[in-house]
Amino acid sequence: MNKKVKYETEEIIRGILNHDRIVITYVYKVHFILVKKYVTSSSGTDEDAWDVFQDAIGVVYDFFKRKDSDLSLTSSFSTFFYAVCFNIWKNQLRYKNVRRKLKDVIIEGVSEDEWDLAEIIRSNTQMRIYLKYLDMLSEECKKTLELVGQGLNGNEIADELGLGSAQAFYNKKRSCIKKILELINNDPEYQNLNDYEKP
Amino acid sequence: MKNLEKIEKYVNGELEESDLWEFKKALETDVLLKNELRQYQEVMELAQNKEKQNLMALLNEIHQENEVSTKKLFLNRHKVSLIAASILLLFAVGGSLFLMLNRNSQEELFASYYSTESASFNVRSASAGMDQPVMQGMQFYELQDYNTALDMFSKVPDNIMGRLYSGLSHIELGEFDKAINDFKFVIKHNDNLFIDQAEWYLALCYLKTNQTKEATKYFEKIAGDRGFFKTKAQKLLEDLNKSK
Repeated sequence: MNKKVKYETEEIIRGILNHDRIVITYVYKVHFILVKKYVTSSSGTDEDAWDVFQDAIGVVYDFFKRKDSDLSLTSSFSTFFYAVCFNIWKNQLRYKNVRRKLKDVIIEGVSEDEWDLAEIIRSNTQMRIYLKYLDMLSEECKKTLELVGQGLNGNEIADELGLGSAQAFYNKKRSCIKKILELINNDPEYQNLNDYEKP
Repeated sequence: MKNLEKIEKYVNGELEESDLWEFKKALETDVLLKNELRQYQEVMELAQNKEKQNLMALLNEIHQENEVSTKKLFLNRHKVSLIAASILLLFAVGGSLFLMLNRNSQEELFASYYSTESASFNVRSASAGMDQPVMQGMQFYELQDYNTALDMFSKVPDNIMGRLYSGLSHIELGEFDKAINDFKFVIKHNDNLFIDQAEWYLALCYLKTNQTKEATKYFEKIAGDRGFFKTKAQKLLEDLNKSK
């Protein structure tokens, strides 16, 4: 067990990119409490805070994934991370129709054109909603959708799933996608995500 | 999603030339089709983003591990709401007793004594808890999506409340043998809040499936106990004897 108490910004970011359990646990332990405190003190619940935290980790991941090998920030990791969280929560409040207006928080050290924050946040919120409903599908559908992502062809997947033919797999896949699209479409957060997009 | 099949073909490049032309033409005017296509592509992208999915799974694991103290708190709250809810359920069942008519065939007896249980739990506030599939299942049960509810309950076969509602879902779907199994499990797992309900519904299932002997055995037991279904069971036994 790594007993290190503090990590440098780059170590944290590299840890998140590499799915390093120790580093991510560290980030969780240090930052989640504060995010929770912030969210619950501005009209949110513990669950909202957890949603924000997850989305924020996803945003950090996407941001540095795009930047390739440059893992530097002009600010500290926590300044950067909280700014991301604040912006996510600000968006969430807008979806939730809460009147309370939060101040804009500028994310230091990241220029506006360097990333499309709104789009990255949106895709991470989508991922969270998708995973929530994926978990509700039957084991068979979960497996099917998992295999779809692995770039195997229809026959290979049919074999893996014990289905007779590629056609049987395509039918299965279609019914699973249909099911998850239905579930996602009925999710209020997802509906807001799309409404919000309309001009 | 109306156009799923067409969209899949389009995305996979399987549309014939004339269909392809038509599809592209339709995309320009048909907002619904356009939205559905975008949604399909988004979901496929999410499904294929294994790396992000793994990261989120890891994060959730860490969250679970660190939420132990919160979980304990949840359990206590959960128990209170269980007791409150089962009292509510019992009252609901008791109330319908007065509305009952004398009918005689077993089928009719079942129909007059069985009414859909409500999942009147505060499901939302408990949704962050540990037996999440059960909570989700209850939500689907309430929405009368019994198949999806059963998918959820089957994930935690040892959860007593899940098994009770799994049984009730099977009744709603007319799968009485499966329902019987669930109720038996609840009864066998002694010492829980749901035995009264499980016995009552088990007996009703036997009645419905013409296993009169088994049904009578349970109704007699319930009528002899001091549970909430006592009067109801006595009444049902009377009706049953009349019909013989």
